[in-house]
Amino acid sequence: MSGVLFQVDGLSKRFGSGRRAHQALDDVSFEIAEGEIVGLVGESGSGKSTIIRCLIGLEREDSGSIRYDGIDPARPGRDELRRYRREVQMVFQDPYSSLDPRMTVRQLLEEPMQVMGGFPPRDRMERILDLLHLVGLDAEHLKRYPRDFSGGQRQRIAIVRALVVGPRVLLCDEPVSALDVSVQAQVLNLLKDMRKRLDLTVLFVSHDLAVVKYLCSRVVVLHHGRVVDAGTVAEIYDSPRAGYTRALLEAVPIPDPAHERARRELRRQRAEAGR
Amino acid sequence: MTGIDLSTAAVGRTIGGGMRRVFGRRTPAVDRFAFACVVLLLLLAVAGPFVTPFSPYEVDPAGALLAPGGGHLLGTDDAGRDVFSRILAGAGTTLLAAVGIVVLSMVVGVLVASVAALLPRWADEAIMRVCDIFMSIPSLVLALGLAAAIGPSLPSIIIAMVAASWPGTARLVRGILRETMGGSYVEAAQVLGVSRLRLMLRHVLPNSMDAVYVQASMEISGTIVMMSGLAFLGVGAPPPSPDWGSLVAQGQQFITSAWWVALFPGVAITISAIAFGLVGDAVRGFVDPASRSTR
Amino acid sequence: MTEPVLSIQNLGVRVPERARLGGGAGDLTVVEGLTLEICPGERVALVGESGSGKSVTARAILQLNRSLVYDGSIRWEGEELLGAGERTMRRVRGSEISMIFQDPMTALNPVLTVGQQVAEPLIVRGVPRREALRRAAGMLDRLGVPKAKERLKAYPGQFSGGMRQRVVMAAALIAEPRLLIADEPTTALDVRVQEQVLDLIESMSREMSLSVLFITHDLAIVAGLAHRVAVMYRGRLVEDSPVDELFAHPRHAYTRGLIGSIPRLDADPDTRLRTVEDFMAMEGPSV
Repeated sequence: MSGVLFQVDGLSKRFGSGRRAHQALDDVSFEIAEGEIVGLVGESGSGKSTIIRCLIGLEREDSGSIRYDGIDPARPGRDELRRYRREVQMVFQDPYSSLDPRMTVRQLLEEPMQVMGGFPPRDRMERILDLLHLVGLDAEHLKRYPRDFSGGQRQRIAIVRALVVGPRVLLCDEPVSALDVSVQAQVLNLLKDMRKRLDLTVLFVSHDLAVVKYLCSRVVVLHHGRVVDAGTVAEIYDSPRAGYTRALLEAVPIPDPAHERARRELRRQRAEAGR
Repeated sequence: MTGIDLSTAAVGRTIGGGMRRVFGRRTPAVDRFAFACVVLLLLLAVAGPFVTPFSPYEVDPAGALLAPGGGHLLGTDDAGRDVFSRILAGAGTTLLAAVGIVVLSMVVGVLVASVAALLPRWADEAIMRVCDIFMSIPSLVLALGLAAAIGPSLPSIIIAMVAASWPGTARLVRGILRETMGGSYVEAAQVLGVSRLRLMLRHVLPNSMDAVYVQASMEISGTIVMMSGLAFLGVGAPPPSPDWGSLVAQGQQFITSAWWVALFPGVAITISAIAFGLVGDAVRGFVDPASRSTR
Repeated sequence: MTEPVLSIQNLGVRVPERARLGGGAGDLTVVEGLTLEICPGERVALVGESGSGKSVTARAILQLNRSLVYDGSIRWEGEELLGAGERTMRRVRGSEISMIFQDPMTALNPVLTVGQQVAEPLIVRGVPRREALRRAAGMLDRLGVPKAKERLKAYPGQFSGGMRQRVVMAAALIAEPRLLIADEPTTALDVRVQEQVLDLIESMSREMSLSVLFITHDLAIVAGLAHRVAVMYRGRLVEDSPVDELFAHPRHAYTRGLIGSIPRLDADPDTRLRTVEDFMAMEGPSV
């Protein structure tokens, strides 16, 4: 595997002050190597969104550092910022609010290239069409508006929008958690294909351990702003070190009725024994 | 952290807490200035008539149309009355009437909208269509006609303006209620067997009032301008009442020779309209978490 | 077999032209020819993706959306609910059939205390306030809300998502209904809280011999909860089987797609998820 692309070191972030202060991140460190898909797992309030916000420079860490290929996204040089914005793209959770409802698909997909510059107008349409085909959409969709599409299609459009400037890294913030299971599967398969085809590095933030197992090669588990577990998929899923990881894994439902009923019975016995 | 916390808190549990919030560090300077203006204006509205340096009514032909400065801060009008004193004396009429009109219009609007929301669909629709018909007549024209019909006096202006503005308010409040009724806690209560009346009184109205207050605070500035407009057109309070619209109207004839007679009341109208407008906007900022920064 | 408590026969739901969002000509059929029965104490899952008509069906039972056009029949213990008056529906809602919703963050009125809201179904039925509040504390306690009695005076804003869903459930169950409709009640919750809420629904259903209609897009959630699973696709019921049979031998291609779509902890990540589209393509356009 090639070198480290993202290096997050001792990241801490506190919101508010005094009694109402909230330690969102507490000494968080992890790395993302080129070509990896890293899953960042945690429940609501674990700090995973704050990490993403720090990574894209929306939030500045109190202490610790983030390095992307030599760039500090919170304090970039002028040219560095351009390169960072181009190489690191983001896919958001809610495909209903992340696309401007008054822009056509064509405008939505052209905009990143206009903003970044360096894309001759002649080539733009070709790039757009290539990517649209990859995600199963085509030229006839270009004139339509986001409202004309289903949730899954919108998320595909959002993915194309992120990919159109040719990034190296995709930051995905719960990109499938607002989708139905059936649509989620399509988007997961798509992300898997795209990563291989375009040689992407992906940080995939999710609360769903089953999804993360399907997609990722390495996992970082967050709890109350701290990294409680980290390792390869095999390490985390076969022999989780942290009790918290085990608890999360145990709570994931498995589509097997007999297995699920047995587990519930076990929980009930455990609860009664504990009383 | 959630929108719910903010919106309930924003109603301002206590005056003290409210004031601390309004003038606190986190409020933008412009808003703090606007709040201060409004507080000052309301104080003037109440105390104005008692702190005038000169009598606002006493005629003094010898001292007519004196320029600002000298003994008279803002000059005198054609009858030798001190313009500053007249503005102070008129503040009460203008501002309190404006606030009164908005409050009355909101009360009527909320009542009509709540009744409409409780009635069967067709009756609801019918009431709203009636409101639409009223709204299609420009409210200035409607108020002008009504006020002229009842006779020019302050109460008739208030009646006319409320009559002209409640349909718009009702329509708006109906929209606010509809949005609240779409909230899932309202549906959740309905599912538990709560009657429509109780649903309205306990769940819908209390959760809609924030938006109604915001609307009310935004309407005040428009009302001040419109009232002054009516007075300017001659259906204001009868002379020698010093309400600001009438002052501008009276000053208009000397605008080339004695600009101060019309200008300063006009400035008073503008300042209050802007201040109330800004405050309305700021109130929305407090109440509506979407227009605030999240953390 | 016992008599069903709820019997939906040949239900059709249409959005009339004037009520269609975003226009469109003619009525829009959202549910067609749906037949579903629920027996006392039975837990039935109604599964489908958004737009399949599952939520509309649930709301039809309680007659929540009056702008829709219904046909067919929904019988509750023999009594027809379709077109029933407000009076009948108010009797049925809450005390006979109750419902909980997806988002516990918005399902509670922010300006009323938790006690007031949990006790409300009793108060509107004439139970004295003190008695109603006492029973509210009891129900919250049963649902695992710690220090229930003291927390009656708290506001929903002071509760976490999982606790709020317990409060919502307490309000839904306090009048001892015989059917609970749960519309995606765990979708907005974290997995561990989801597991607790599912366990609570299961145990309350057994203790109170409560029937449950559980609406979801995720078959994995209901695998250990439901006795029977009904699958909806584009407004129609395509499959209605006992839960073990449905997972072992899904009959309809769409059901196979739903099962294939679920990422499994016990599966090899290199096995590609098989989506609804994959299965439907294999079956051909027979649906």
